[in-house]
Amino acid sequence: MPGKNEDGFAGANHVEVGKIPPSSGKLKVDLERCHQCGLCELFCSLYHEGVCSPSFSRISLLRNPFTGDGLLETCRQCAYPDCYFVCPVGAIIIDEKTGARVIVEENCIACGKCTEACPFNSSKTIIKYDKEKEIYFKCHLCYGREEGPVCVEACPWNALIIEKP
Amino acid sequence: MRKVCGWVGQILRVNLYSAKISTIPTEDYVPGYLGGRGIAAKIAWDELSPQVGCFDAENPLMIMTGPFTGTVVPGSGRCEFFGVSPQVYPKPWFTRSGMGGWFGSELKYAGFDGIIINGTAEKPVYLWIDDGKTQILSAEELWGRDTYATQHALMKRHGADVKVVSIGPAGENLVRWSVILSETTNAAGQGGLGAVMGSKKLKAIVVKGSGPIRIAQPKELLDFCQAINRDCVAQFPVAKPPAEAKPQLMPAYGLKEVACSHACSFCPWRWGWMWQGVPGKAYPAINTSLIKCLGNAFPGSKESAGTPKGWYLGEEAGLEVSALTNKFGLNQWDLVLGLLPWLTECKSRHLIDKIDGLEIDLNNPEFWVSLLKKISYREGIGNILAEGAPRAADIMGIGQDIVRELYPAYGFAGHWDGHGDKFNQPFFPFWIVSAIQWATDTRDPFSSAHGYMQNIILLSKALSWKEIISIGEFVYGSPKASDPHSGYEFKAEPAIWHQHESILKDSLALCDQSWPKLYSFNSDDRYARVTIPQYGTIEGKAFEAYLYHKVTGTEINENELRKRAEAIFNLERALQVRNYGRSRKDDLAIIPYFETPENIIGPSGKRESLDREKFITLMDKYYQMRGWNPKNGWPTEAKLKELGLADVARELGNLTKID
Repeated sequence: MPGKNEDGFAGANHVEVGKIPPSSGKLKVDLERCHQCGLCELFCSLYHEGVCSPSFSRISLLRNPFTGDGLLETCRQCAYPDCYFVCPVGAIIIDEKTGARVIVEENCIACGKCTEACPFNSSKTIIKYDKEKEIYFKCHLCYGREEGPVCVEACPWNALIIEKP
Repeated sequence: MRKVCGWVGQILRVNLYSAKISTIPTEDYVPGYLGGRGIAAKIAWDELSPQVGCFDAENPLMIMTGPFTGTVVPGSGRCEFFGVSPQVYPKPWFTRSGMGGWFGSELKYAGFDGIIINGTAEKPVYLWIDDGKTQILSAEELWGRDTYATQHALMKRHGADVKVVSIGPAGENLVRWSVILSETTNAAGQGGLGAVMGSKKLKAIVVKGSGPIRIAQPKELLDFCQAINRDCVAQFPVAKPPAEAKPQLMPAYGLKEVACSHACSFCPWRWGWMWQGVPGKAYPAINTSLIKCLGNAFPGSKESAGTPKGWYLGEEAGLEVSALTNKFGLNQWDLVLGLLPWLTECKSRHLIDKIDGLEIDLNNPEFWVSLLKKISYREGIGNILAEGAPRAADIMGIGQDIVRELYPAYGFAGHWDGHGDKFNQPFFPFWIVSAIQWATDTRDPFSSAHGYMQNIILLSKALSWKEIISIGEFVYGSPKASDPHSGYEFKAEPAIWHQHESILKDSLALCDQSWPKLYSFNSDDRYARVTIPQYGTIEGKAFEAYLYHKVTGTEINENELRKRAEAIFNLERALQVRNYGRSRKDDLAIIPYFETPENIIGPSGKRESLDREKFITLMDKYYQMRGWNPKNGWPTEAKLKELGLADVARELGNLTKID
């Protein structure tokens, strides 16, 4: 089955379902432990962009201060990744080591198809746009980082885990 | 514009009368004045004339962040508020008030390191700051609403992810102890700056930001912050749920431990709890609010219910009343440690027994609600109590002696001092340090000075005195500084050290409950230090300097950083001397308060009170160590010059206020 192609623009990644390597895991938050401090966002943006800012983070804390409810949104590393299929230039790759779905910065043409295709991204909390670099970015489980995702390591409350499929 | 690391580059200036909006470069003030409190002190020195009163249009309401605000630095989610304070008694003067939460970080993400607000609007307005663009908008339909309703309305208009500070009816009606509030319970509480906002007809400030804060050395900062978190999260044995939180209530009310501020990585006291859907007792409403710190006091206790100043409301009514103070915008500290003890003591001395016909009864939730409403709207006697207990006592001509037992100085109720503050349990000789801090501040010093007293008293339950004494020796220079069997010797040193630490916390923006990091449960000697293979070992008292370097790129060692804090402390003192005629006489006015017997008996085995002669000798030592003239408590020319404040010395010299 080919990738999503609603507007007639064929994605570059045509891979049969079942032939895409699954991700070795995805980030999951233990809401019982999460204190909604936002440090995961700050560590993420610091590690990847050298800045501190939730807008530059690949994980997003959504909190309602008047109910106490909070949740963390980030890429689910889908088994059938719409973003991957819709990308017209093949800028999204599957990391051989972790299986993470990775937007390769240099190849991104900022068409925005991935951010529209992602079924979980209606609030733009998963695939975000970097105005300065003119690229889209999302969580790739800290692609290339030996120790694994920095947020998992940095969370003071041990609320983030890598959930294996 | 060049971006300075740790900062976003500009401070917003708004004149509400002329509607003029402009900016000034943050670099005009940093790195010299560090940030927050340092910047505000410099602006006040340059711009604030002695005649400006708290409700004058010229009173600058300043909100300042620090270079750490909005970054990964643990406990950095803070901003500081400044202005001529209506709460200060007998005559308002310039002081500060800190706030945690999420507003300060968002302000920086929106492109501003601070805001200076001058002038008075003709009609109610609010500020809308949207990623660098600032507008003054009408708040006529918000005026009169409580702080929660105001925030809901503004979040509906500008988006659920905006951050808001607002005032409630108390601030609008110029209650002298009204707060500026954000979310459910983060507040610039002490000082009554809510009334300053009210006098400016400024209902709220709404901020939305998506920008970055640049970091000079990202990798080093990341490694270091992680190391601090790893060390300090190591379970402090004193962590505990709130006393009143019975396990069976927790699922019913969704009780959940949450960070009370952005970038909170842990504090040993862990007092941020979200209560959800709790039914009220005075009103049939459902209340949801974050409860932290003093908010835990509202339920009271069954044991104290029968005593004159005690009460028992229970969890539900306690939360209801706590949330109500926040909605109206009233200062919980002044209510619970000032006004209510004053009222109940007046009652037990038969000076007053009813508030406009309603019996003073702290076990009755309806009494609380009625009282808070009357004060916030200045109805009946509430109009007098809105002035705060010290002024109310003068106006009513009753209980002025009781005020002197509860309020150490400047119209601020007791706090970690072993006397008026009955909640906390410091004992001799440690409150001698509090006495020096109280004597030489411009407000209740415990906005940013818990580091000595609270750490020693609470950690003494988990650490040995030997360990605490040796850490004291290491940090302050003598084992006597933290020895429970010592007396007046070596108490000026920790007082000065923590006054400078207080400047650092209010300038860089660090949480007072979790800084400084002096104690650790991971080291053999219990002294905090972290070791990072590539950088070596950094000691607890040098953490701030190390972080400052990694965030801003300005290399500075611990002593140089604390020297800058000393310069800011001296600048604040110079402002006090120039604008308000502050002198040694005013400092020593705290003595009678501390001459009363202490609340609890410490290791000395007897109930101590302040020894006037020994304390005066200690204060002489303090002035001498500060490089101030012991005769009048004024900074000397030599000291100011040493600190790079020659222009300040010159101006004081022209006014013959320097030796």
